[in-house]
Amino acid sequence: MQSARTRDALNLAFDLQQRQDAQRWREQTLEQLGQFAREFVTRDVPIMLVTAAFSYGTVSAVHGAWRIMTGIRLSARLLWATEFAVSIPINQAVDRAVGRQVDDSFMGTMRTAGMMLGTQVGARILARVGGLAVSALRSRLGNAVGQLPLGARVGNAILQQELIGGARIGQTGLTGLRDARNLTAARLQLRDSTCGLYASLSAIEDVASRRPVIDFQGVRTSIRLNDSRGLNSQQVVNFISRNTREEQVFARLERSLSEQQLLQLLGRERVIAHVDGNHWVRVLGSFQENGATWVRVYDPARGNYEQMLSSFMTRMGSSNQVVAVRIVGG
Amino acid sequence: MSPALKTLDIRDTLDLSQRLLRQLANGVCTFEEFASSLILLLANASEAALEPCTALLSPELARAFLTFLEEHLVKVDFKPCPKPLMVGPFSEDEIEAKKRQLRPKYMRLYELVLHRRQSALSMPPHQAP
Repeated sequence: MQSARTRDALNLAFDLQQRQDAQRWREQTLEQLGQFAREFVTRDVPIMLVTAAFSYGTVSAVHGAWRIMTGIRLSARLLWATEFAVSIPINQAVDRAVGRQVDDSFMGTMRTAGMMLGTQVGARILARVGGLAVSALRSRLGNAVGQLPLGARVGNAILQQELIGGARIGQTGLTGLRDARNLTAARLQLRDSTCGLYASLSAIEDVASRRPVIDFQGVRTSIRLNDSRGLNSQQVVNFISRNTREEQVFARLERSLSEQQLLQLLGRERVIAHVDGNHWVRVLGSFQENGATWVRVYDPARGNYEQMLSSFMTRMGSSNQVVAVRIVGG
Repeated sequence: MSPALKTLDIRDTLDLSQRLLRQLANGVCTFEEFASSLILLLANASEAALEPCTALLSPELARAFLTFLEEHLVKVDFKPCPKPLMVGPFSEDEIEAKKRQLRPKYMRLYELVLHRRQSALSMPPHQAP
């Protein structure tokens, strides 16, 4: 029979052994985790980033070319699905390139797809950073109409993204316009319902003392409630008022203007005119040539052009509507 | 219109009405421009926005605005041209339908401004808001 002293010594030794085992296990686990993290950071993360850059870059390039050629913006979900599908073979190609074993079986592909989910998160981050960089670049370069509303952070993301478009010429050109000429590139609307927004933004950017922060609150709902046919005159006035913080800027509706009244208004204020039944354009100014009066027009559906005033007035109709924006003391 | 949107609409309309009032007070716009802009702003908003917005008018302004409303709304039987509140293209029938649709709202606006002026008149001068 063991004495009490011997039993205590054995218990102590057992406890000591247990503590040493636990310590060893902790050290091994930490070492394994550290090795895993090192391998992940040095080997997997670069591969994921390269894959993300390739898949996002490929899809973005194709989408960009598509937008430039057709003017149609594809849905974000479709792009995401395409990026996801493209990223699997790209990942396998990158794996082969760096000499890693590639599992081409169904389960291997599923594993790759799981990894790609992580890659997609990386792609989203890259897209966000890239978008901000491009925005910052555009704000410095400007475009044919003026500075872009790149400070826009509030409101409807789709409309906001849509407004960050490059300067282009509309597909219809000057077809259907009488006495119009000199079509040049300008920022173009991508949807039929947003001409009022584009024309308004052109005026807002002109009168704003700082780069405007555009508030799209309720705009999308208003357009939807108007059966996606755009904004009415009062909604255009409201949009401008809401987005010009300076209270010396006053936007209002003028109706049934004559040629002479329009010219006088152009001399003093920024003018957005309702034309062709349901379209908004910005009238940039007027000039005389060979005895005829012409107006310079920013048309979000076509581009910038010049048109003879009499023909432009015909487009406006007799009970015409014009949104005038003035700065008092400016 | 959902309750959330209605609240948003009331707040937005109130903000824009207050802006118009400040612009009038600071001489940024004339009274005619203020009054016609306010009518269109309120006609475009939900009916729930009428009362809080008309409550912003001072008694003197309510009196002048009432005169303007009599000239521009009462004279045309509360059926002014609704085109600024419509998205084209529209037929004559649609214009008439819109006039009928907006008439109760214009009448309510007139009543509210009338009430605002009368309540101000019934108060002793030192208590008028």
